[in-house]
Amino acid sequence: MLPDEEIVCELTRLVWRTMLGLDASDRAEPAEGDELTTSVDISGAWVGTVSITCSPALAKHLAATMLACPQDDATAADVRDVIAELTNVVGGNMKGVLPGPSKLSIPRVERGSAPSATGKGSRHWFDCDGQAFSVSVFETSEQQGR
Amino acid sequence: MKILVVDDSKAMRMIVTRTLRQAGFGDHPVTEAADGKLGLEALQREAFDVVLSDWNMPEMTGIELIQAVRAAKIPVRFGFVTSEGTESMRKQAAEAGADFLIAKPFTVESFEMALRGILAA
Repeated sequence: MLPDEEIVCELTRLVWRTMLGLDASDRAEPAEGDELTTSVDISGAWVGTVSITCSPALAKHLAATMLACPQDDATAADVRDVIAELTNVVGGNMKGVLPGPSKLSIPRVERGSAPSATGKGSRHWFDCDGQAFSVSVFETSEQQGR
Repeated sequence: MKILVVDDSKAMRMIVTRTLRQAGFGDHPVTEAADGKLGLEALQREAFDVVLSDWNMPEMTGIELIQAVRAAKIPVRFGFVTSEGTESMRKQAAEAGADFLIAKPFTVESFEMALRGILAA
């Protein structure tokens, strides 16, 4: 099973509003150009991956916003840390609405787009301060009994 | 009261510290540790009154940290600040000896509610 898309949207908007003080509104068209993807794996009664993908420019904007500093002061490590934490919070909350028990991995940050995966999945695009980001949920297999 | 904030995210440690200040607990000194193992080392080295710990961390998780703290009989109030706030996680935290669990994303009010009775005492 996949989480209801409305739940994915609500959780994402809540995390953006509470942790960043920013709005995440729906966006029809995907982003173009360079992308950064952060993922957390959920393994157990439900097995899959939750990923957030955005441009490096938006990632820097999010880092500066969360750290309450000018963009020039946000280092590459700060940017990775902030998007990893945002993904951890979205993924952790998503885990709560999926079948359990399960475990959440440590976030990993990679260059490139979200994995399109071989299993079932959905990807929702959002707009944040005029820039696109997506939240993807991919189920890699049905119950594995672990 | 001395507070130890344990989280592998530097940004989150900063936000937890900022939220403590916004919740009116800014007078309490805060020390940071970047994972459970470093948190345990800090607790073995120095006395703290309250630990605010993430759950999902490399090296040593938050649940492993509280188990080690309780096994070593280190006298400290312990709360989780974690993205996983389901009933089963809350139950697991309470069974391990946690005093409270604050779910991420959190608000200033959730810090006030969880910590009022401890830090205002």
